[in-house]
Amino acid sequence: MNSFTSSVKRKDLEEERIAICPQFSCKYIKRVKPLKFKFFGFGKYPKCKKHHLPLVFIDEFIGRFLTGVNACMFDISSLPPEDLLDQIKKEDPNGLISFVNLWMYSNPFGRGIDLVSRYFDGLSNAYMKVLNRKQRKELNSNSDKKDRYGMLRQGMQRLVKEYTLFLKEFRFKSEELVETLDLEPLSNTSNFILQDWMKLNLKKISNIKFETEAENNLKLKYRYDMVLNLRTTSLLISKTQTEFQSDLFTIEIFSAYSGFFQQGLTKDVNKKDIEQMLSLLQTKSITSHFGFAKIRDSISVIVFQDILNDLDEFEILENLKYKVRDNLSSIKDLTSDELDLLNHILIYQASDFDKFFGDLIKFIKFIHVSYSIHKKIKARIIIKHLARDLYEQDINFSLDFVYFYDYVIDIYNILKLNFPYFFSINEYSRKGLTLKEGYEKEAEYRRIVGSRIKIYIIKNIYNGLYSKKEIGKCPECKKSGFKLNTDISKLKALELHHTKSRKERNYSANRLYHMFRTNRNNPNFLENLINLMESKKVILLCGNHHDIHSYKYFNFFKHLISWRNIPNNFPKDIFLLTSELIFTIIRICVDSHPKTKDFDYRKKDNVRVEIAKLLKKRYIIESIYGEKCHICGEFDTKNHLTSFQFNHVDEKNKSIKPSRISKHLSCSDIVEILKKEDGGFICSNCHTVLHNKKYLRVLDKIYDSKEIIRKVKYNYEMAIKKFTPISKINFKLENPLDKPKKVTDSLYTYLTAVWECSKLKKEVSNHDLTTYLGYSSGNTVKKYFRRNFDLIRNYVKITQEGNKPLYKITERGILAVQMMNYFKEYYSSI
Amino acid sequence: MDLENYNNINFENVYPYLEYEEDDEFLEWYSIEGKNQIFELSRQLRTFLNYKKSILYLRFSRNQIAYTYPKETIVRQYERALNESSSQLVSLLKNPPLLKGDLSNEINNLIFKTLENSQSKESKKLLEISKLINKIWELLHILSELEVQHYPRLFNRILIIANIACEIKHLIFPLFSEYFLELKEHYRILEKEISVMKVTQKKVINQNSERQKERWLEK
Repeated sequence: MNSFTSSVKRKDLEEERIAICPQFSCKYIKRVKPLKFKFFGFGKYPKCKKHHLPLVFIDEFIGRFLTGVNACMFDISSLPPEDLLDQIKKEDPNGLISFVNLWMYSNPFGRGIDLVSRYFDGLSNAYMKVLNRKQRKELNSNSDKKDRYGMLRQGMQRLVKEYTLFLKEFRFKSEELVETLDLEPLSNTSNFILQDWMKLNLKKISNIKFETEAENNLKLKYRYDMVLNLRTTSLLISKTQTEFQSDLFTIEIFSAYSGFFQQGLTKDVNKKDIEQMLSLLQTKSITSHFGFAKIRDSISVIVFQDILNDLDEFEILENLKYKVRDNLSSIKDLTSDELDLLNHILIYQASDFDKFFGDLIKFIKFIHVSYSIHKKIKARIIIKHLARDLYEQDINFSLDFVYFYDYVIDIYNILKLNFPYFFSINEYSRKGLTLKEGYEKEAEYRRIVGSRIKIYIIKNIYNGLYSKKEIGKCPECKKSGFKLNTDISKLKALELHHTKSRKERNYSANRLYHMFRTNRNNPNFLENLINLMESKKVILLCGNHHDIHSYKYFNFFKHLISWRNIPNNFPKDIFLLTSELIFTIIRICVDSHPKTKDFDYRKKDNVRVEIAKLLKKRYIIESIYGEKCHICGEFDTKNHLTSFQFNHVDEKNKSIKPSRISKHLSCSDIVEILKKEDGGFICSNCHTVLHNKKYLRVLDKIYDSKEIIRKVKYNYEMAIKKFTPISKINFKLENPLDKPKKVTDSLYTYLTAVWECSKLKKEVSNHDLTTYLGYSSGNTVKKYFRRNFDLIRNYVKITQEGNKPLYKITERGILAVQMMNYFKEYYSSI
Repeated sequence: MDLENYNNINFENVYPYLEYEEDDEFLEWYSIEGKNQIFELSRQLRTFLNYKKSILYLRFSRNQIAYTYPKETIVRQYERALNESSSQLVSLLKNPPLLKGDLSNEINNLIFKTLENSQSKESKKLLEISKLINKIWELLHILSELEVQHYPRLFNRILIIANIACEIKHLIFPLFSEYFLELKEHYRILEKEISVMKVTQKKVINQNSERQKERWLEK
């Protein structure tokens, strides 16, 4: 059939012919004559009066019209829409092929083939009218000119030819695309899906305006196809959508398709396209083949064996293909039918085969790696976690999680059955538990796995440095000669400390478990973790020693706070000093320490408050329990003050965090609050022992040695037994650290001045002090002594000689100045 | 016939029955027959597509509820007319049988005899057949517009008759020979489809009755 038509040029015309407007819906038809002498006459290029388009010959035009019709009927876009197919595949997989066949069968009518004959009716009518006029004219003129009806014959032949060709093409295409005798009616499910799909797409399309000129042709074609698909759908569900069914609209579509055909935007649909489409759809579901589960299980066993033989994923897949293709008998336990099916999938659904079994290999490899790590730390595996991890990594065989979980269980069980020596540790199950019990059990599992990883690290880091004689002994405790606090039985108290670099993450059991969870598919996870720790110079420390390392200001001012190695002439403890002196000394220390002396006023004040807080803590603990932890008796407040923690007898009664109690409260006020909290101070290591209750029931899953388990239990019982809350102890408490109203540098300045001047004279006058301090007037000194009389009289004796006051430093004053100078020099020299 | 041969079609060569040597004679024939035949072609196409669509509805429509169809009286009227004409055609073709054999042989024989002697009995018979066929087609055209899918038996009969009518048209109007041959092929396929339909319908009925039995037993 003609794909294009040339417009009428009267100059080239040999005889009269019939021409028509090329606009499909236009009925403008005209008899055109040749020009006289090939140049004389009007309307050399006749046009349609309505559309102003050059006319074309009618017989050629019919060909063009039918080209448009055929392009529309059997375009590739006449295949069912993908979203609709997906829905039917999902909800009515058995009706899929039947649906596709029925769609293709109904398509020509959905696309308006029945309008072709009506259009032909109109066209023939117009044609005949023009011919009759010509015929009459010829008959009246009694012309003897031969072959004067050539045009008539040509027109008739052309019409017959085009009609016949149209019918033939329709039949060939119908026979090629659809097996008409095998068709079945739509299932109920497919019918409902079609109805929903139609409703949805009608909404979408209702906003579209079909402005042909302004549109991009591809866009326009897409929209026309949407309409045509909707019409096919309406035909299938026996409903009529009048808005898109009008004859005029259909003719417009044919016209547009004629244009699309000329622009190469159409493609003839054929049987192969349908087969390809169906095979693409089936790719997602090779699992739906009957008996596929058995095949999957058998191949899982083969794949696992290959993984054990250290083959990589590619090799395993190729190996499998080879076995399927060339040596079917090597796959055990499969019947010949099952082997045939497998071979069929490999040949006809090659990409599916690769996708499914590629995923299966990844899946089994994941199980292998994950299980190997679990085995290394001797922890049980939870299948649900495994399934969730796989699912998150998109290894899910396109299944919903619930079904996928069953899938994982099936394959895991098959592997366990075939490789019992590998799967030697039982899995952890939450089966039969309530939701709450399940959560508790999961928390328990976290504890076990985290603890086991911690033990593995302690045993293996630095080539087993911490497991030579006693496993997990804190090196600092070893140095101090402590016995109770330092072994693997206090696993929770053992911490990993960063010595070299800044801490990026802590390595608590909980944190280690989470790291492990995200690295289940990393076969070298544990080795990498240990290497990382070694590179960061992570060392093992008990909680008490770790706390000391981490408390900055305690380490800076430990000499002052612990009051150890102080000259003998100084008071035995800092708490024997007056609060003004304590705060003045604190002030001097902060101003002298190289790391704090350059701080601004506010920051210095914070540091001073922090030191006072630590002193209060020491005072309270020592006043109630004495210097050492009352459970272990090994750690003391002077060296390990920061390791002391407040333990609540019952965590449920906890209303406040002791560390959050205001730093400005007096010691007695703090103790009152702590009494209400019902608990007592113990060292951090003993605190972890007291909190071991939840671990007691899983000790056998954490530790391999019964001796250690016994020790853990003993430690716990002893800690419980020895622990005494504050409320059960009688003690006396003063408030040595009540902050005075005003603490400034002046006390130190004036005391030093008096002391220095006293070295030259027995009694020092105002004038002497003014000269020493470099003041211009004596009034400043006078005013200070007058205003701070109550404070200064403890350290300086003031007498009157006439109107002039005389100052004499007391023994106490000398000691105060010595202390202040001592700490100033001590911290300046660091 | 392939496309090339079609383009080279020569009116005189393919016209053994109406041998018009002169243009005037052709014109004469055309004024009587040709014009109508051109209309007939598009009409035939329309009728076939109507029946094809009816088959689609009959086989796959989900709304096959038995109800009194409003156009029933008209359909029955044309059905009777069709029955009458078709039985006339059958009696014409069979009585008296000129040659033993199929329909095409019989018609070809009639044409041959007519060409030998235009005043013969055979010539009159052929003319009668031609008229009758036109009448039958007229009825088939009308019935195609009356949604015959609601009358499967009639529909089945229509398709059989259309098949025969196409065969006769193909033989006696060589100008449209290819066209009617093609149309006949289409009707043959439709006939097959409706026969398949009968089998599937029976199956459905049997299944339904079995289900009803089961339900009854369950009660």
